[in-house]
Amino acid sequence: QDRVVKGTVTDANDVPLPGATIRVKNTTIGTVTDIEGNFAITIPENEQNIIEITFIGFKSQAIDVTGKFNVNIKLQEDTQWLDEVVVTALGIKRETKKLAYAVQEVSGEELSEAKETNVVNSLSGKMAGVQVTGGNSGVGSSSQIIIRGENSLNPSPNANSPLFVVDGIIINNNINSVGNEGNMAVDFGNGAMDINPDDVETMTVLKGPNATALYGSRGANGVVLITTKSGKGTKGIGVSINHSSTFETLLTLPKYQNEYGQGSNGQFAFNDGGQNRSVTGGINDHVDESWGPALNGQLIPQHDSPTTSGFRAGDVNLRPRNADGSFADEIIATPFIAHPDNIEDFFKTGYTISNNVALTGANKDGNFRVSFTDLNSESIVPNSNFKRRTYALNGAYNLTDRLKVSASMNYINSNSDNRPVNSYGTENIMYLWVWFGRHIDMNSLRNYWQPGLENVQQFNYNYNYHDNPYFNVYENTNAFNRDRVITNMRLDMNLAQGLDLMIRTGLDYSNELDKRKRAYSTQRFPNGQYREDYTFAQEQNTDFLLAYTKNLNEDLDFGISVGANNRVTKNRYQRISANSLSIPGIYNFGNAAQPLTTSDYDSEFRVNSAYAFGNIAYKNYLFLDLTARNDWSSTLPENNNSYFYPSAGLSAILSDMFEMSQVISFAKFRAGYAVVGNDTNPYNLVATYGFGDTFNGFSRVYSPSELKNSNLKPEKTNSIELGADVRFFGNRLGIDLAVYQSVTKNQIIALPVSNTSGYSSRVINAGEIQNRGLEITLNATPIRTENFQWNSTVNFTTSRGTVKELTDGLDFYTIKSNYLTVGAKVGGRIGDLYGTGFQKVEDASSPHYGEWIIDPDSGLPIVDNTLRKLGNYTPDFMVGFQNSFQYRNFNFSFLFDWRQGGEFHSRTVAIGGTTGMLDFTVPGRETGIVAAGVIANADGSYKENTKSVAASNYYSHVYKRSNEESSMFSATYVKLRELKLGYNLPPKWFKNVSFNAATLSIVGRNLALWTENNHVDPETISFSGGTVIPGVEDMALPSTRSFGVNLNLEF
Amino acid sequence: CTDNFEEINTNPNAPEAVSANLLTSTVTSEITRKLTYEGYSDGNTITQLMAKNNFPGFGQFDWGDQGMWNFFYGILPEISDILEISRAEETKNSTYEGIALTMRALCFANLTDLYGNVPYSEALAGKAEGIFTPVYDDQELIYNGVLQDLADADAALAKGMNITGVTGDVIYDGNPEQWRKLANSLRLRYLLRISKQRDVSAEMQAVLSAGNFIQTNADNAVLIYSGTSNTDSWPESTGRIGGFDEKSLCTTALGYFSTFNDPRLDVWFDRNSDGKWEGIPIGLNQDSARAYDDANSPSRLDVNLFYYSATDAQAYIIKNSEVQFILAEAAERGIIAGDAATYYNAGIRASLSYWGVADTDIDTYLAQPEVAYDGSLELLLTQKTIALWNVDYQGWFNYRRTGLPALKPGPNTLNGSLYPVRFLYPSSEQTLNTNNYKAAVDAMGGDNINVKGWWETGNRY
Repeated sequence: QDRVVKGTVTDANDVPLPGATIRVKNTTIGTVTDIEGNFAITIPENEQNIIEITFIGFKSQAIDVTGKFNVNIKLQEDTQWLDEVVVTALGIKRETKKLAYAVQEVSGEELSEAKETNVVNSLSGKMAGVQVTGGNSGVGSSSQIIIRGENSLNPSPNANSPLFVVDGIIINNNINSVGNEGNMAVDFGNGAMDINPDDVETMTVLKGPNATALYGSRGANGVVLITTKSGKGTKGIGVSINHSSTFETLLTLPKYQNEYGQGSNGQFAFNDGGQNRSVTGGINDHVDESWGPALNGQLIPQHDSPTTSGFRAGDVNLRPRNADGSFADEIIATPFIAHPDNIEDFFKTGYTISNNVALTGANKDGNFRVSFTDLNSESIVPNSNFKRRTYALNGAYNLTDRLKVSASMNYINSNSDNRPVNSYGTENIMYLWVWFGRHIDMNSLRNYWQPGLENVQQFNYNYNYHDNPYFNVYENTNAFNRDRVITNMRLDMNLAQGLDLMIRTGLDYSNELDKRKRAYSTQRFPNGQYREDYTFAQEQNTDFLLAYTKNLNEDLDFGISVGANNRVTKNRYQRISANSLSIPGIYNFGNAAQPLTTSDYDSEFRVNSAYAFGNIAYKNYLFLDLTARNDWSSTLPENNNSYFYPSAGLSAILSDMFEMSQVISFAKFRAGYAVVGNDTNPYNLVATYGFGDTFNGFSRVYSPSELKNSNLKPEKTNSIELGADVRFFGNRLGIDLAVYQSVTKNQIIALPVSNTSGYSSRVINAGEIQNRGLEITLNATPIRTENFQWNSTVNFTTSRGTVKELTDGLDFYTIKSNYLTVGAKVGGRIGDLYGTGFQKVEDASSPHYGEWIIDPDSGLPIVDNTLRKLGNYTPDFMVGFQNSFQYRNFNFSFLFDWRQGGEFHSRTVAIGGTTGMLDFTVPGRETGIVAAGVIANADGSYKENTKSVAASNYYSHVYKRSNEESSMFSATYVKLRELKLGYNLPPKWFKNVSFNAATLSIVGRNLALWTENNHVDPETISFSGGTVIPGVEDMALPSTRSFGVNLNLEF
Repeated sequence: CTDNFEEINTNPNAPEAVSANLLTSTVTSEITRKLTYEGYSDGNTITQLMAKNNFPGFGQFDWGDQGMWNFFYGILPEISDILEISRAEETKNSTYEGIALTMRALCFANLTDLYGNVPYSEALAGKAEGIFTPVYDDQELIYNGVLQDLADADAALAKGMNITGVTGDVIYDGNPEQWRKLANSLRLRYLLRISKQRDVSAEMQAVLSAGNFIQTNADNAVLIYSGTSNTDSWPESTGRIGGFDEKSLCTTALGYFSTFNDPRLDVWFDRNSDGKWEGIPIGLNQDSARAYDDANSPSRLDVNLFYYSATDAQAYIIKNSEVQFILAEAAERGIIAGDAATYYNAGIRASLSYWGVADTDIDTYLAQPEVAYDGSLELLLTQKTIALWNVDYQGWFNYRRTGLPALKPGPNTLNGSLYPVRFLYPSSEQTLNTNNYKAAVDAMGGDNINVKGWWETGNRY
């Protein structure tokens, strides 16, 4: 028989709580309290007599009402901040309050609602001290994450990457971007990108060596700990289903002009598009710049104009010819008009659809979770995509009361039929757009073969430099397939009271095959190309940890642990390339028309480690942590391959130690000191010869260009960190502060040396980089009423890396360069960008101070090739501002990401300026331009320049490649990074299904951008020579905004 | 548990030591290819045989280091290694030693000709002596070393040791007699080069008398591309046609060709779309070059020879024609005994014959009054400049020494009235070898393109 239970819900001080939810357990039957906190609920006959009471800001309660008809319920305020447990180094769970270092966490819910395909991007703006930069080839590109600034002078894209650890197993986060063999770089993604957001329970970021000392060498740049979901805590069987669909559209696109078409000196007429100028050249139809005629509708022969022979004018291989090779037909001129949206029309709406289903179960003996996720993404670039399937399984079983075994297995398959090409050159469509013509109708290029010459000869508007963009994306593909297995097995034993032993082994294995196809008639590969790159990576870690904890007396706890780790890393890379094909359209090495070129590289290294750590807690308010670790690395010389590093941390909960004002609900102070060492890459001790391609049948070798060093020492980073965590007004307001300084010495770098010495670089220990930073996180709950809650978080980060020392006799070190040079100068900052610019009046007392010096003959500013500092790519500070609102079943949140300061160089603007494609190249085309600047008089004074030059001459000079200064922009931006509106569907809607939760969200990411320039997104990294170059935008794909829906069901 | 670390850290991918032939293939192929390709693009431009209608900055003298520094210092370690291997007890081989000495001399002569003072005596001593900032030596000292290396090469190659097995030599397949001819031909080239500063009569005469130098086209130091891959193909044939298309006939050269009624015009160039021969001046800026191109449609290079074929165009270090012109000038100046006209005619004959002109046509050519030798150095050096088509920067070096043929900067030159005489040091030297760089700049009187070197400032003629 149904019965009614009545009651009142109050807080600890007996103040009624209106709007609290009461629900009969495991049913959809529920109600809410009225204004006096009263409720009445009907419990059906055959249901359990348990009701659950939930209210925002309070801990939920479940009460057994068997035999009761009237209950008074007091809810405890949710003080989870204080008891919060986080995962720390080696996967050890600890209470946040005891930690002597900064740790921040993002929950899986946050990740899975406004889902990012690359899980790294979800950290953007959410945490102080964490900088995430998304790659520029759309969904599936690499993201770079830097925690607390760059410490390393090493140019590798991975040198400053934090360590990624999944369920205690270290995984590889290498950025895999390979170029050469005539091909340009393609970004196949960073390692951590394979992690499926749907399977993530929490992501914890350990910042700085104090938090990561136990990871030794590899933790110096911070650690991202990922805990995957498990079946733990499930009652019986749980099922969850998540679906998300997001759509992507252009957020940025360079602003092109629409006044003038292709050509030069105002002249253009198509005949053969530059294929054979001596015989069939038109008027400037080989010119790929936009200094041509006005787009005023005048009749001009164009590549898509009809001809008297019936072919398109651009079908140059088909049109009838005379005996001397000239065309026998006539082109019928067509109106020369602008196609303002031609480039925008090329892009399409991208989408990402992700479906996840997970099953969980648990009982007293164990738990399990299986999960399957299918993600399908189509890029904004036609025929480009990214697909990922993740199969995850984990489980734990209590063999006995004292013996637990657990295991997890993740299989991830990522693949794509085609990934966009990065950087400057014909394989990148963004390169084409800065050389394109504004008169080109994009539709005219869609049929990209000359009819009858399919697979042999493309149809294009130009034949001497460029590829048809559709031909490029449909025929010249860069596919990849990556199989990855991340697995671990673990045994936990309780040996005695307080004595536990953990033994674990884990493996991260990945196998990737990239396939590049290039069709006949491709500019770079007239006879086609087929290339395969095979990358194998395997890392195995086996470790144990023996932990002992004891309560000595009421006031004193201590714990001590010892452990050891064995790491084996193996890598293999192999490239095979057929740079010319016998039969068009067949991509197989058997079809090679030239000897295959190959390159392969195997490497292996091992690191053995032993470590110990201890902690002492006094009266639960004073905590001392000590750690010690020793590594033995196979990469270092025998006499230097062992290195030791300790850390110490102290935290004091002042609010428990002393009486404090009621306003302060919690106050903690923390301090830590840590040392970490680092080894080097394998085979860095002895130089070897390199193999070259054969030449006329002879094998060739190259002498080593890098002098190796058999006396290397390990690198060392010293770090101190101070912090405070203070909360006010019953935790309604909290501030967390961290200041740190880290100093990295003895860096192992390949120091460039004058190549007159016989080497271009030598491996040495050198350099001292100091990083100082301040991180502030402010949490507030400005409003909390029965139905409404507003939470607000602001995080602020500033950090500055300074080069204190390089090596004797060296005051400038080129870390890497791509047009601009990223250089380290003693006394300079990390991130300084050097390049060339124009000569300027340097005399500060001159009224012309800072103005360009103009060459009186040419009327143009004089280029000064001496490298000068043009900016710095690191921001002055970064702010993340996140707000969330909850009203009954609705929640709404937004996140702004503000990055202030820093500069970047835009190659798109530089080249688009020289070619006359961008909007700012219109003024002066009819009249000429007088460059603003002065001419040096013989007596050292200056006079104003008055010489007028042609606009094409002016813009191509000012934006010329050797004058990087003209295309430097502020990297300051504000992005509306994330917007989310969620609705918890009321249980009553689903009478027949027992949902535990059903949430529908509308999400958007990167919806708006505010920045100085209107051509490109300043959040950019470029790829060159297999490394990532920050501070340079190099023909990046436009940034995108995404929006979509997410549906989550749990039952 | 660290016992096997050393073994694990031994690189399985690459050897720590190699044999001389593997390095010789790298050295002979890279140097020959590079020198010819440089000659084809920039060498021909600065002697005004060719000019560009797009990206014409080089012809405007918008110069930097032009990459040659990095090329030569980048290949010299391989040469040092061959020398070391060929002199080591267990791998001793006088032929490889001679090849390495010849190539070392060629590289350093080019370096100092292009840049002036360069690191020489302390160069390449990073590993052996730990010198990473070598001093720059003056041109005279370097030339002494270059000539010594070539004399040593001559002596080593004279031993005639055969190489067994794969030689790695893409020029002469390890033939010591042929290499000896190359070494001595280079001696003639470099002796004449310094003849404004020094009396080189005895040395030149000695080489001449010994007779071990290139005297037929069959002896030319030529690399024939096999075209089996992009690497061993004529480089332009593997690029975009747009890059090829940027190069045109220079008006200056068209003048020579017209005067001489020269058959090489039709070998190296194509008529324009109007079926005419048209030139373009060097030293136009981008806009003017474009405008000129629009208006005149200058002839571009022979597309079949220099673009569509991977093997027809060859690469070379020095050919018989150059040697004959060296001897012609030396005879004319009285440095050696002999008849300048005979050498001059032999030079022209060698060049035309190399480019496939029939003997009878050569006779006709030589019989023209405009061509017939009249004792004019200008005529001699104009003919030599044409014969040096594609031969690195040798034509420019001759111009710098003799002022002939009288080349003038183009309309939009960025170097005033001066014709430049050197490349700039690479900017890397400013940061990586600062003090020695500064000392060299002081010693030379600046790091700009107008600072003359030692051999061009002599006053013997």
